[in-house]
Amino acid sequence: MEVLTVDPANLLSPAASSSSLSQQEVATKIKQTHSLTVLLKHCSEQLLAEYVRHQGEPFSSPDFQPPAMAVPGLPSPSVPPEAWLALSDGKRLWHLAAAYAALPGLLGSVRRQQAELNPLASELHRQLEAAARQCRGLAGNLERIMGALGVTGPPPPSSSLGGPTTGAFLAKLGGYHVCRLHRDWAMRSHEALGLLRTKYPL
Amino acid sequence: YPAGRPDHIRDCSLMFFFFVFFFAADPAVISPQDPTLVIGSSLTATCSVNSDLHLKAEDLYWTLNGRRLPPESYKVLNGTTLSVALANLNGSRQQSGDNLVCHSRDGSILAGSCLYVGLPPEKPVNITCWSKNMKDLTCKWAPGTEGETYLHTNYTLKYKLRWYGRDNTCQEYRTAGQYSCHIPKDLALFTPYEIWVEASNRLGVAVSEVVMLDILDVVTTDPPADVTVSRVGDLEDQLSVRWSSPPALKDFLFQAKYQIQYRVEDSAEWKVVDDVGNQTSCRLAGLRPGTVYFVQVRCNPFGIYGSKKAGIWSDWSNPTAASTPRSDRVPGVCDPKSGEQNTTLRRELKQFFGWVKKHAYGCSNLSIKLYDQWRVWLQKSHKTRNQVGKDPSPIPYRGRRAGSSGPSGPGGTARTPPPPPTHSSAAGIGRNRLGR
Repeated sequence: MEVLTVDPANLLSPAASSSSLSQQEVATKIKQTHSLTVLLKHCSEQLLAEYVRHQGEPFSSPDFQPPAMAVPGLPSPSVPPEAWLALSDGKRLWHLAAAYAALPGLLGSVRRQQAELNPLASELHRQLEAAARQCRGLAGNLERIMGALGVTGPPPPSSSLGGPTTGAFLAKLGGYHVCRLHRDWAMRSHEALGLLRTKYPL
Repeated sequence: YPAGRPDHIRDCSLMFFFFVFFFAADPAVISPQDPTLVIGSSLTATCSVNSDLHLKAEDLYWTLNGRRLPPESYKVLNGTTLSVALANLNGSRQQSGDNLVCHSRDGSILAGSCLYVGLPPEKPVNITCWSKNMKDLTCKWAPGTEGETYLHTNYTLKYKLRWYGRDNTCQEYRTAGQYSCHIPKDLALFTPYEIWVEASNRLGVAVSEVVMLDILDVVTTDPPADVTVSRVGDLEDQLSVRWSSPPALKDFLFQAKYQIQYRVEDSAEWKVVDDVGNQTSCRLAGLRPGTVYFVQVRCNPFGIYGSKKAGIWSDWSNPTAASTPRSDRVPGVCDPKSGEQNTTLRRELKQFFGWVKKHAYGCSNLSIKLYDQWRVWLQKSHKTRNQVGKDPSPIPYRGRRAGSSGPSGPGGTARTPPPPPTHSSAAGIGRNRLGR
């Protein structure tokens, strides 16, 4: 596993990042971001449960097996755990940043679709909005950490999120995939930030 | 870290995408897509699989809301198309639509369509409106159907001035319950409005009857402000209630009438005082002594701008609590009962204390008041024996000596008055007595 060494000289040089943080500040930021991932893990589980509840069977049945579906701009983090752990911190952060750049927009689309499909499900709408907000927060935190560690970020997501209007069933299915990916990425980010925390203790 | 993306990162992103299937085209198509149907109707749907999948119509099956549909209702239309016949459909189980799904034999989902089965809306009824302080209008209504329509129903409140053409639509919904709307401004007075509610869902529209009203006829106010409830001297069966008229209608010529309701603390039954008129105070009589009462006041702004009509009663003010004095008042807590003052014994004691003050050093705080205090304590402790827990705590004595002297034997502590308090606490007691 490649180990990223933090060179204090790099941190302070303007070429390395837009912001310069001390070792202490980086560690604090990592700890804070780790706490955010704990929140995200919890909320994303709740969101998925709330979502399937409103779509009806078969979505809400425990053995629901959806057909795989490509969600534009958001890869599935279904990399075997060993491969994920084998990546360097920088690469992991890069993938996380890419995912969390795309998730807020996707969650927003789901919220708009659910406003049509389930207009009275106010709790679901609230959770979808909160999830998008939390993802934006995490994206911002990741950007700061990557800047401090000198890791280049991914390109911004393509703005082509809206496709042709799909039927109701496909909308339900698409929303399911977004919510599930949101949960999967929350678990991954929690893992990754946990690892970072041990490397940059306070 | 070098600026450009190194090769191994590109490889990793490929690795991610490897695990995601890309469907170039949909595996199957269901027709019709997202139909809307009336309860009890029938439907025939078809599932056509994409020939690339090499699946046959016989390999398919249907589910509705997760439940497998019986094969007897299936029909093979051609090599790649299977139909299903649904009869006598029930109302949709969820508002997002029933999920009709076409599966391949191994259970995987090929396509889906959402069914919306319900009833058209009924005319909304019971439209009632009120204006708070003549500034706005809030209306609420009830949906026409007793039961459900199973389909999401949208309600729109509309209004227009009676003799002018333009329809307006209310924007702020659910301000006073689920079926309500609030019009915040631009309302004319002294001229009638027409108000109605439209209900619509996927199956149709229903319009309520039109209600006609003048804002001035449905005015209500905030509840009265500064409601205070206090005792009437020592009177044990009365309380005095005072309030001020709601501030918002200060500028309008109106006469307010008020109503009071009150109840005892542990009862749910309110008593209403109706004939309060337009005073801002009232005395409640015939109450139970030593009881906590909750009191509320409300206001009706009638006679606005000289009209004779009553308005709408405001909400009740927040409850204010007060208690009536106890009937078995302990004498001497405030003033000693007149009877006590004239006994011979007392007169003699008074003289004694006067003498003690003059001739005994260190007893300057002794006075007849102390004797009265002692008598008060005596009465209270006498009662405590009979009514446990009801009396307030006895006057605090500091420095009470344990094992106090007294004529009675063991076990008679209740009957034995305590020794007079020590010098240091006497002043405290005097203060307690007078400070009430």
